[in-house]
Amino acid sequence: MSAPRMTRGMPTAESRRPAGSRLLSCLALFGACLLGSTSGLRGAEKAAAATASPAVAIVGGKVFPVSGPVIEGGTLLLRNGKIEAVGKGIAIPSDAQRIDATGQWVLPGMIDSRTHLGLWEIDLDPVTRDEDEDTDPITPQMRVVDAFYDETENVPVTRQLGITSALTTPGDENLINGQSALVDLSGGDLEQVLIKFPVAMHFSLGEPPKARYGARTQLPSTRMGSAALIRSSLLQARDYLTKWDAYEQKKLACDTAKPSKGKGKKKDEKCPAERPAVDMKLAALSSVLKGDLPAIFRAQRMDDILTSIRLSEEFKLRLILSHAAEAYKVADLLAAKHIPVIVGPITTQPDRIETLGAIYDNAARLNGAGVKLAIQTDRTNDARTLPWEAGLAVTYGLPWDVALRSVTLSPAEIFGVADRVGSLEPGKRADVIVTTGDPFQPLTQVKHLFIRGVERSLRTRQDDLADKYR
Amino acid sequence: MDGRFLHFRHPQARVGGWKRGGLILAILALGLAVTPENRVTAAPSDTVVIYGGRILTVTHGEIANGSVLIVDGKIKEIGEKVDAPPGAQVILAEGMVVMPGIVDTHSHIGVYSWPEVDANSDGNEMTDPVQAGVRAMDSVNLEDPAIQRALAGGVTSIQILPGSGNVIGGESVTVKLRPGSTMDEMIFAGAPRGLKMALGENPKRVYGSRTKLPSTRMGNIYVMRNAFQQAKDYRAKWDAWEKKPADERGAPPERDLKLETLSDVLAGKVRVHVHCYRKDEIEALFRLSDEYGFQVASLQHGLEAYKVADEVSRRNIGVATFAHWWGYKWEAWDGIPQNAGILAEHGVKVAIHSDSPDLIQRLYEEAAIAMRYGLSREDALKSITLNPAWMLGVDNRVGSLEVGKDADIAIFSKDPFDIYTQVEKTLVDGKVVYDRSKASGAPQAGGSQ
Repeated sequence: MSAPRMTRGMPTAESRRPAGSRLLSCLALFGACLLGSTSGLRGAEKAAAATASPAVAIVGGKVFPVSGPVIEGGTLLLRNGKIEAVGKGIAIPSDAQRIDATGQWVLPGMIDSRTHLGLWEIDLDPVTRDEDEDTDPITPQMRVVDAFYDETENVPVTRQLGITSALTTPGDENLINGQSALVDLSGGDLEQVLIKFPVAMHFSLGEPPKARYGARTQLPSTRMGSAALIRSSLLQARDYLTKWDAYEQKKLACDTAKPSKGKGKKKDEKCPAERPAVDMKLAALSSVLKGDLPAIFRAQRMDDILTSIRLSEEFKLRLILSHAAEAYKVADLLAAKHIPVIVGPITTQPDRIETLGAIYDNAARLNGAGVKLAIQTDRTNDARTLPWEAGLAVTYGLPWDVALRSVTLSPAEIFGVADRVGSLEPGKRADVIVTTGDPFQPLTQVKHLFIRGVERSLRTRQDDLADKYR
Repeated sequence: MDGRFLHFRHPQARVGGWKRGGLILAILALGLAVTPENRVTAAPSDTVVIYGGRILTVTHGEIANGSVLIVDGKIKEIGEKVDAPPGAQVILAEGMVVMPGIVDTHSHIGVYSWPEVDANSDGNEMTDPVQAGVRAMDSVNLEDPAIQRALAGGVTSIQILPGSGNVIGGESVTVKLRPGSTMDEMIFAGAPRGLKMALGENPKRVYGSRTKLPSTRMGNIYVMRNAFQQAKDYRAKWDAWEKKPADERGAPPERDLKLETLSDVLAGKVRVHVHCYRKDEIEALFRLSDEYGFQVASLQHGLEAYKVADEVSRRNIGVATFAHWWGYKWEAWDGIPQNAGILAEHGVKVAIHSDSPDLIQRLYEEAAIAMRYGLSREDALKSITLNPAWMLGVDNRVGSLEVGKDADIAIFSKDPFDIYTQVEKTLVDGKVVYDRSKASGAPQAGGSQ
């Protein structure tokens, strides 16, 4: 929910019509989605590499590389979409545009670890929403890239606060919701803004799926029903994978056996290998079973968190937890198992049965136990609240530098893109913000924002409206 | 303040628990003037001194380092030095910020009590679009855990409203957050009555989905107009009956609770708070209120009020809005974070409201966000204190730190507009009702498990 007041003065949200996602036929990309492991999209890196941007030198600011110590009066040199150099006393090339950041802060652009940007325009209008294919509790084959609206007004509004990229995810009311993407917020078309796809397969435990399907007297209406359906889906996927592995092996055997046998009429009756039927759902799940794709489990209550661990261990999934209101209750366990946790929003309230244990210092306690953290807003119209969410985590005990890491380098590591984003290091994408001070303070302004080395507009449609009526 | 805290008569009582050394010495050196009169007789326990904080009075600027003397729940003195009798409870606020308790014009605490389950859904009587006869006070769950959370956010007075599922939702109730009290004790004595009305998408969706009136914005306004016309006729009937000599009156007209409330609106006895979003529906409301001659006290939400700022200002109507929430439905699509700032520039009294048991805990942060987008610091401070108090008709009692006003006070660890601030203590009528150092179930480290 983008805004908590929406439940006020209204009936509960009517059941939404099936989202009219522009489903790109997977068949058109048959090879790519056979095992659900590749996107069927041109590599985003290729697009980024093609960004030829002029050199920019940001000088005199307080530089927070995140990956290393703060540099007072440091210089950051950007060229061709990448960070070329960072440090003190760096020679400024004569062709570089110079930005004086004296008295200002220079930081990596922030990353929101859960939004529905591009999938969701107006919360209450299902016509404008495509993040949630609410026709089946098991929809691993849903891919957010197939519904991404690149001209969404929510991107500039979010960008204005210094957020340069975001995980855009499917909803959380199915048990298996689909595959997320990490996009930058430059506002270009999908091929340009895509940093990584798929990032993860999204699972959901607890109230949302059982509330939805229980109301339809359909499995799952309970937590045990939820776990059983996820388990049976993963078992099917495991069988599917075994079948395909056998096929691939046999096909290889047949292919290699043929020439050596010459043109003899006696043909091995088992050749050619019989190709199993493609099942989009199971193909998508296969990549999770193979470990190609991590599994992000949305779980709030402690027992749901433990269920996600149980399922993940049974099927050897690469588990990442999200939401996780009660994670602090099992912080030591999560730390021991090296399970990263995407917490948030920090303002999660004890307003639902499954979040009765919500506390503001969840993040602080997890960090204290040694858990790797990222922070999500789980908002779309107001994903701009990310820095304030991080600030609130600090108010309630999270060390400031950990909070900064939780919206920059840590999510980059969790999503497997730390070689490209999340810190100010040479060779990384030049996603950089220059602010008047601590980015978590509401009164701090973002003065400059670069994505792939290009300075981006900080104006929004809201600014235009304000100017019109001021 | 409970009696176990710092107390001149029992200075040792809490010293062990106080982190700073030299406490007694510090208090004696405070410059609290001890007058001959009160040297002999200890002050009653309801005399409280808040000592040594930065005081934001709202109406008379800031005092960099001052004190507040509270007697019998009222502010008796305020300044760099105050005359505190011995025996007064002392609340040390050195390095802290002292400001009026926060006032929220738009809360559903108690009528949508936590947790949000159907059993706790008591804020919308959606069985008829006109529900002027229902009263929010009859739905309030006094055990709503959100009350404690609101106090932890420095909030001391709120208006509890019915929801916006109906065109006329019912009477609101303005309360002080005195936890553990009965409804009678919670009610803000002397606060004017209020009526919640609603325009736009919500009522038309509720009834439209049942193919019932109203399913359009014109339907919304018609329902209002029809209700006020009936109220006018109802009043006329009663007036005629009352004017007759006693022996000719006969039986009185039948009472109608809906129309009674609405005729009280027309008589200026009930303040009208209208949930609205779009400019056109705000203008339609103005036409209606002109036609029936009632004053609107506040626009609630009013996300497009900035488009008609001059007219809102001319009519002396307050706007209680969000700092930045937008886009959650079509009528919120033109919502902009500059709304509060633009309205204030046009002379409109603006409040930042919560409409949420989450946001109510951080209205100061919301006000800071409104500042980011152009609201002045002075107006930001007023937007969570004096202006909402004015909309509720209680600005003579709360909303600023002035002699004679109720001692409803929030003490912050840092400036209220600093994201890292926390409420240390909240006082209602001079009594500490929230104390971070002691709170159990409070939303901070070490608080709840």
